[in-house]
This record gives sequence, C-alpha cells and structure tokens, in this order.
Amino acid sequence: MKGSLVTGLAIILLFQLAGLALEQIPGMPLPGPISGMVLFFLYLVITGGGYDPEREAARQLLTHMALFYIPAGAGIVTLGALLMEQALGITLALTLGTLIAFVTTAHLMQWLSR
Amino acid sequence: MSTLLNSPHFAITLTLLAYLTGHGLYRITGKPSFLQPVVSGIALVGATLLVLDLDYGTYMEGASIIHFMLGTVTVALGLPLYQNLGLIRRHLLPLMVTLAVSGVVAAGSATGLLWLTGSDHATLMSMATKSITTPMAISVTESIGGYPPLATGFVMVTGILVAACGGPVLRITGVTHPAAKGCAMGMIGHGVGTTRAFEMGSETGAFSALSIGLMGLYTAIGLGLLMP
Repeated sequence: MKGSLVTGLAIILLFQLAGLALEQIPGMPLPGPISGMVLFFLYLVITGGGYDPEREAARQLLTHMALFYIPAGAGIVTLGALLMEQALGITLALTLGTLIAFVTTAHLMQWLSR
Repeated sequence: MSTLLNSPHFAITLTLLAYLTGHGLYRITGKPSFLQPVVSGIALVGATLLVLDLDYGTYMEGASIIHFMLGTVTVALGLPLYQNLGLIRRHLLPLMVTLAVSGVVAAGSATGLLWLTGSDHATLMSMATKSITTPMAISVTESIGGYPPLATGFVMVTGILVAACGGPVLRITGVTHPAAKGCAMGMIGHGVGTTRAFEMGSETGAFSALSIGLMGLYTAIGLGLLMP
C-alpha cells in the first residue's frame, strides 16, 4: 500500500471519528458516519477540493463500496420468517411505493425545470 | 474445524471471496441490474452460512472490521457530493423543491403501504430508508430502530426495480428532461439507479449522481428528527 493511501485513509477516519463525537451530543439527529460525511464535504469546500491522498482513498473506498455492506446484508438469513409473514405489505411497499415516488419526482422536477 | 469456521479469518476471507465472485459474475454476464455484485455477494455469504450451519452473529463478529469500514465509506461519499456542487448550485431551487417532496413521498408511500397491511415498528423503520444509498441506509436504520439486513434488502430491491423499469416508466409518462430523469433515477434508485442513468446520457447520470447524496442526507435528517 502506498504511503499516501494510508495518509488519506487516516484523514477520512478522522472525519468518521469527529462524526462519532458529534453523535454524542444529545438531540443530534444524524448518525455519526453521516455527520462525518458532512464534515468531510465542508472540508473539501473550504480547502477547494482537499488533497490527493484523501481524494484517492475516498475513490478507492467508493469503488469497492459494495464489499462493505455484505456483512450487514447477509443478516437477511435470520429474517426469513419475518419476510414470509409480511410478504404482501413488503411487496406492495417496494413496487407501488417506488412507482409513486419515482413518477412524482420525475414530473415535479420536469415541471420545475421548464 | 468448527473453531476455524467460526474464526474472523474465515469470516473476512469468505466476505472478500464472495464480493470478488459477485463482481466477476456481474462482469461476465454483461452487468444486468439484478446481478449487482452486492446481491450475489450477500447471497453467497448467506448460502455458505446456511449450508455450513454457521451462526450469523459469530460471522458478523468475525467480519466486524469490514462492517466498521462501512462508516468510512459513508464519510467518503462527501467527495462525489463536493464534485457535483457546481451542478447543485446552478439548479438549486428546482432540486431543493423536488428533494423536499421526493423524500417525503418515497419514505411515506412505502411505510404507509406497509403500515396499512399491518406491520411492526422495526420493519417500518427498515422500509423508511429504502431510497437512500446502502451505507447511509444502514446507519440511519440502526439509529431509528430498524433491522440493517432488512434495510439493505429493501434498498437493493428498490434500486434494481428503478434500474430495470425506470426507463420505460419515464417514456410512458412523458418525461424527457435529463434533469428530471436523473433526479428520479438517483433520488429513488440511489447508486443502482444511477448506473443505469449514466447509460441514458451523461447529463442524466450527473443529476442522478448528485441526487444520491442529497436524498441520503435529507432522509437521514428527516428521520432523525421524526424518530429520535
């Protein structure tokens, strides 16, 4: 691993840690990682795009983003009973719910962009 | 043998191999939306746990370092948001109004329909994040009392539906503006929809890409305030 990639990862981890610190504040509506994202975004705005190490580390992480949600996703094996029990509601929500939201979004944006 | 199968070494290696296999499968089959690397990756890990009769809790503990990095990936999402800042500022008003409505309709219609059929709180909370990108959905659903695995499944199905049916639905309902197409694909179908949006054109893709971060942030704040 290149030295600069370690530097970049350390910088991103610092923002993750800062986000976690913010999460401790009572009444904070955002989960730590998302506050961390906002702080990282603000840092990029302030520094005019940040520097190569953290940009490269962020790109690498995003390229392989799917790897990181496999452990959480695999927990679906423990939820078979729940899925069967609520199959109708879940199917309705995912199909009809998605269609309603999709059509609303597309038409609203098209109307506003005339 | 069972100590080996219950070790972090096994959990971490299994996760990496499942991801790589999923990735390879996605490439050689010509990248169909339903074969997202994460879908086959999760299926492979799930099947392995079932076949070898391994406990999910033990696997998760072993793979916790990979799960930890999910937070790091979420932080990294600040980069694409920054890169799209120019486009966001040029279309600020239509984007903000669409986002405000879209987030409420996406979470509201899905949880509303599920609630009508009689569902429990945790399942509803897992459904509320269905239109935001997986890493954000997992952190949000965790903090509002949903099940992260369920939320992941709902997010993936939503994204796949948008990627597969979005094009025809836009055509039938007469949506031609690239910004409108992009916002619908990205606000509702997150990263999976965005991959398809880029195939519709670079402007559509750019709007879809910027919609992912906006929708994620807006939904996170909204649900965080509503469900403290």
